[in-house]
Amino acid sequence: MSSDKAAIARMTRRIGAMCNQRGMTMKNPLDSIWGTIISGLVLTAILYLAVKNFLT
Amino acid sequence: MELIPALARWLHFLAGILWIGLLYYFNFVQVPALKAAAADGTAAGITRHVAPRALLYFRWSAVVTWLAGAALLGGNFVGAFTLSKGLAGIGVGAWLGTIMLINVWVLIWPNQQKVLGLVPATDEEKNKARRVALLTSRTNMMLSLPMLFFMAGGLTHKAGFGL
Repeated sequence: MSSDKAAIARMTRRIGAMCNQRGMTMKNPLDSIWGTIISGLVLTAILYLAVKNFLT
Repeated sequence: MELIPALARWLHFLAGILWIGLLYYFNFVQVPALKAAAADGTAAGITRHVAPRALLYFRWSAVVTWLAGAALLGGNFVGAFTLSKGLAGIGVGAWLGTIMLINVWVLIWPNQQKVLGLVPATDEEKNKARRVALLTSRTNMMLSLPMLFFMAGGLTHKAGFGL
């Protein structure tokens, strides 16, 4: 479990470093209308699968 | 008493359209319009005359929508909120709607009062309030997509999605 956490932390740091090298910054998707809509669609799909597989 | 659920459903739809319609108005129209209006110095017209009226209908239609929804659930209220079998779909919709209502009254309205100058605030507080109000409004817009998906559940959802 703790090795998983360490692996995720390493991966996050590596992605952050790659973005910085390319002059990219991680943005909040809710700062744009399209980011918000795409986030809403992804959340809809996740909740649908959760309800269909675990709650019905 | 078939009349109460029928009236509750009608009221839930009417108030819900007003609430979510205004939420989409804020996100699709007012926020970009304010950016353009600030550039040519005409934002005061929106912040003084349009936004306070829109917010009045926005926050109270949220309350009416929730109450009418609760009346419509009737005896299934607890079952929906505990995501019981057969009620999980509408339950998820009800939870999302409840979170959105809390966002309106706890985060959007108090921060918009600061932004619009309805309560005293320093420039720094106004800037922070503007950011919190925007992100909460966008969060509600994001949540409205799954909320409407689950709220609109019916025979077509059973046939198409197996819910």
